[in-house]
Amino acid sequence: MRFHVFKFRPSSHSEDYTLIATYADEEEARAVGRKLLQMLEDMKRNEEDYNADWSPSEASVSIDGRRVVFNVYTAGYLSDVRALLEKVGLLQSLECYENYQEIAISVTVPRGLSVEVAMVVYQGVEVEAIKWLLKNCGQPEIVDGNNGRIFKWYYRGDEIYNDGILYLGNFQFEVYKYKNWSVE
Amino acid sequence: MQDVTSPKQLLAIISIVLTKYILEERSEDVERIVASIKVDKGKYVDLLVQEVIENVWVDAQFAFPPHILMTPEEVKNKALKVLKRKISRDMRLYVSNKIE
Repeated sequence: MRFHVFKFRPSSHSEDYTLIATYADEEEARAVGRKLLQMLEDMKRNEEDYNADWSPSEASVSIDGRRVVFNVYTAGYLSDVRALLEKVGLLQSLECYENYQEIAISVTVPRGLSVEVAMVVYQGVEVEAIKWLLKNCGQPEIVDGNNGRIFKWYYRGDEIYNDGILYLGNFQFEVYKYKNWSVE
Repeated sequence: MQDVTSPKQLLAIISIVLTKYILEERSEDVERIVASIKVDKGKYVDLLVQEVIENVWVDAQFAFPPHILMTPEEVKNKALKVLKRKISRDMRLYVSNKIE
């Protein structure tokens, strides 16, 4: 008998939650997606059988290759969905995000500069931002253009960017103050 | 239930009660459900119990001092009720395939 500690335990405030379930192949992901849509239909008629603070009409399901993406605004009431994701297919991974974001963060530096040298040339919060991005997003994509070299990191996960500010771990990076940085 | 002194202990006991109920009273239903999904019986039972415990986790916190709103027995009964609903849900979704 295992005794569980739950990641999805409901809380007192709601957030925009995104569950991303990855399966072995696209066919399996499609089957899970279909079953998830069936479950949402079932919820409409058998609300009492579900532990949810959200309406099925507020939820969205999409298939992206081997991934099934489920999104809803909730205080963490996701146990029915998670159980289905684990039962209908052989789950390879299950990620859960609050206010999920997919963004690209770019910094333009002089041509020829490597990331390592850039960390010596630049100072303060810019260096901290580069360190955070290297740690959390890996090595950047490098594009050489007329105006210099662009380091581009792709981030997906919990919300880190809002209104011109990147919230990177324990510090805030006011991107809007730096002309050589951009987030899209 | 009288000797139970903490939410954690109560939830552990409820997990055992739920598992016993599933295996002894609903074994046939579970066999039919498992035949339509990708996990084995053990994993299915585990997931089901996990779901129900998640449903009554908050209630269990309020079955002990300083804020008692339910008795441990009431939490256990609620868990069994939730379990039956979850099995009904799974029968509709995975066995009858009839979403009504």
